[in-house]
Amino acid sequence: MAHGSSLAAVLASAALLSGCASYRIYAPEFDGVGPGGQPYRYSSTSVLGDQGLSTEGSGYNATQCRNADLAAVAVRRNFGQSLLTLFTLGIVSPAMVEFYCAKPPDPPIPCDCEEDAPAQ
Amino acid sequence: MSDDTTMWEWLPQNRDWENWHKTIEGPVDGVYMHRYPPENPAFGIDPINRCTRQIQRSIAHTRAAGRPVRGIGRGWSLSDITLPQGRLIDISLLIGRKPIAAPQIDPGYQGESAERGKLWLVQGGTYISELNRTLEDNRFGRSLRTTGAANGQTVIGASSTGTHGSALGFGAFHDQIVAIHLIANETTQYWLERASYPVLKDSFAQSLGARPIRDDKLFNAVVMGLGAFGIIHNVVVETRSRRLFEAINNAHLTDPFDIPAGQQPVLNRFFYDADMRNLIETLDFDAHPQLKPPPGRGDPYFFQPILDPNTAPVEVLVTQMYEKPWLAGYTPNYAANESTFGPGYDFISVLGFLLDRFPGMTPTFANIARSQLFRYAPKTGSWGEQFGYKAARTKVASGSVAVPLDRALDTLDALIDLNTDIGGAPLVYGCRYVAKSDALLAFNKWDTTFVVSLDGVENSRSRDFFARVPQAMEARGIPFTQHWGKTNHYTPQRVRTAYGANVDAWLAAREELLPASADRALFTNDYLRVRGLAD
Repeated sequence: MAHGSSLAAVLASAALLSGCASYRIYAPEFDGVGPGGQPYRYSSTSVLGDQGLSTEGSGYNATQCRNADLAAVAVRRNFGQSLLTLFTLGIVSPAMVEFYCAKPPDPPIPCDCEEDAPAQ
Repeated sequence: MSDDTTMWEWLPQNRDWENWHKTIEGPVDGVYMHRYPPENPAFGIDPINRCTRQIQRSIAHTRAAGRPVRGIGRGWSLSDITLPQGRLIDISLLIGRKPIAAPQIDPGYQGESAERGKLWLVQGGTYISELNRTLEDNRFGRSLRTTGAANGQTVIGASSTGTHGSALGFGAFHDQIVAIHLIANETTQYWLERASYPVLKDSFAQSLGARPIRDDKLFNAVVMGLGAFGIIHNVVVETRSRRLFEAINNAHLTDPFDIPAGQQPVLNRFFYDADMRNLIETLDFDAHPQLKPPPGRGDPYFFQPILDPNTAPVEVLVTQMYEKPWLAGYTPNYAANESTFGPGYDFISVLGFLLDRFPGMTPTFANIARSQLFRYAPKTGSWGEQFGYKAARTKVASGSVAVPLDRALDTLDALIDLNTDIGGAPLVYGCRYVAKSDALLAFNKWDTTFVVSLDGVENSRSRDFFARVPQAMEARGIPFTQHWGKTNHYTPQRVRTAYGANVDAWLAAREELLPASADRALFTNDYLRVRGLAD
């Protein structure tokens, strides 16, 4: 029983650990300029290899970005999520998806300058 | 659709907010997302006023909910200064910027008003990277005088927390700001300038619906305001004509810019010896046998020695930057340039995990840190190129301690001894020089402020090191300040000791600009309370 409690405690602690697995893809401008605004996060669960369950409904439409592009997408799994994926042989695989929107285009800059500044 | 729909959005959060570097996290109720007018009009009075109305709407909304609020941009700060214990107003998509037209400049402006494009109106969400690109464009030919080592902060985030570089003879980022557009509540806006340094005609403030105030103390409080005075929507930045900078690292024995393609430069190795100590303390470059300026050059514009305390003897990596005229036809390249295989985004997190478990690896870390923090190759480029892209990393450890220059060596010795005491923390010490600021709570408060930037891997030892730095300084009687936007251990007493009567002046300015206690409470968070700057 004591062993069972310890095991449960270890598993519970481990499940709370973050950063067990992390993948990221980002647009070339992601760090040249940086994303606009805060990241958006949602949970998603792959079932039978497809996106079967999501806290945000079927698929996720990044409406927060409005007219801007996606700047980056990251997928993170903590220990608990990885463990569940392992125990179910990948049939059920939850993850946290995080995305960043790109900055919008610059507002036009009114200026009465000449076309090219002189070399100084 | 109305602006209320297209320019404003309330996004409730059910997960903790994290800063950009993932070193600070805490609950927030939600984020007010602000957007520039969707038709993307040229930056000017009308779009500013439309954005202002939406920011004031956010303030009214959070007040109605009885929750405090903070402005947020990139979330770059490494201290918990951003955590609101309530809500966030995100202005990072408000990125308008334009040169001030000559007819708007006050006749009393003391700068070189004849120089075209010197003054720039910049909206608060503009990243340093965006501002660099615009200013250095051929259309404008301008440049910032200084920034931090990275370019990811918003102009307001950088200025409100004291971000600095190491431009010899110039102050911190906020010392380039000469006017501030402050939104204090749902109905009150201020246009703040120094009485001793007027910038724009009152008619400009009036066109924003802002009350113009020219007062040195009020301006000097708000420009380093720690987010406590409301939402800073716009600032006026004083720029300079653009230059190129030649970065020479470890004073190459050969001409660093005359190295045949494919060959490595011959490098000096420097140590924390008598010559280096003298240079660090006096900035007398001519007295150092290898770090004299090249013939025909004056002192460098930028100077930064980085000490690695985990080597024996302590090794020093030196960067000097010399300015030179802009070359006609030169086009800056700001693109990221990383190898195809190398440390990943969370590399520093992994390193911290390993060093917690295998502290004996700390000296080995030095070599890895060097490759991350220091480039040996010479490089010529604009200011925005030199202090541009930095590979994003999580779990970095970063704090800074600042002292008067004549206590520089005492400080370095104290930090090296502390490092020995705790068995080696995975940090290096970047030495920077920042001229005095007039801002009341500026941590660059001495004529030449010597800043030691403590950077590396976040783990238990680096946290322990940061916690013990103030005690080590106090034990040796060294007057010091700490960087507001990095890991710091200010207490009310330490803030009082560091800033003296300026604390009272800062608090009085806050009461004057936010006379209602409810307004002050709206922009108060635990960070301010813990440091004795709010009830």
